[in-house]
Amino acid sequence: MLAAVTLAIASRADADIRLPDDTPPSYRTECGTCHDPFAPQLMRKADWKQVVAGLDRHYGVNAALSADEVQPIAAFLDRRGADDADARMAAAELRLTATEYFRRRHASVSRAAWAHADVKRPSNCGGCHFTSDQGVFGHDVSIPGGR
Amino acid sequence: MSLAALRLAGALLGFLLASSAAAEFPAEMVARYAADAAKAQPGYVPSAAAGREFFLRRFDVSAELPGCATCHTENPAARGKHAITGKRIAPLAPSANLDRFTDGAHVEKWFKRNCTEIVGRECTAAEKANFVSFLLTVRP
Repeated sequence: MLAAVTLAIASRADADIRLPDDTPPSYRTECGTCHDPFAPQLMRKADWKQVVAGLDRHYGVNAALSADEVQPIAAFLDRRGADDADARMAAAELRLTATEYFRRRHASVSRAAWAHADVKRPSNCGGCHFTSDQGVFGHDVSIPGGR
Repeated sequence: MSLAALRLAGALLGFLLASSAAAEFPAEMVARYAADAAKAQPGYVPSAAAGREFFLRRFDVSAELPGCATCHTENPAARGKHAITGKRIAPLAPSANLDRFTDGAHVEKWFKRNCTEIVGRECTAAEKANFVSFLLTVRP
């Protein structure tokens, strides 16, 4: 019984996080050009809402979109973002790298790996996750300099 | 040639024509921006040297993104890297990346976004013509 529970937890934690099938193409081109097209499941809907509302001062950069451009992206994030009640996905300072979930999933990554020139920032998924630019945040990982 | 082969050839030709209708060659894009620039500045001729100077200039409007080369590196035929996010950027020079400067709407969008951020204002048609004509001189 215990083994079964452990296995269930392990396989859940091991599932790849990937962009949903209903991701609007513009999400990849508008958001996914400067950074990886982050999977919306990684942060709560309420946090995404705030990110979308502040695109003109987006982590220090003006990433403003027209109302027509923003609409399908905002709707998508609201459709696919994590549930607001899910405390593991609550993002401090609106950073999806600052959720409890993200921290736990990356607990074994060394300080040296985070600081590696190919990584630089926790939000640079592509530093280790080679398919993140296609929206697949999975296990084809190579951590620079090892763990 | 069989009828089926003819049909296939016709469909292929149609597809090629349709897909090329939307595209533009980088040199045509330079000509279009240059024609636009000449309206405000009669006799204007695109300058690759001015484009190069612009590409390498530090505008220092943004502390983290002082100039084009900050992310695109000083060699536009090389792969760049976003200075804030670390995301890889495909080379800018058409000689190293055939997709560059073939889609007018895409190019306008990124000129608008990047000029506003890095130069602190929108770029002029002359600056755009210079910029693309410089990139056309870059060889990998």
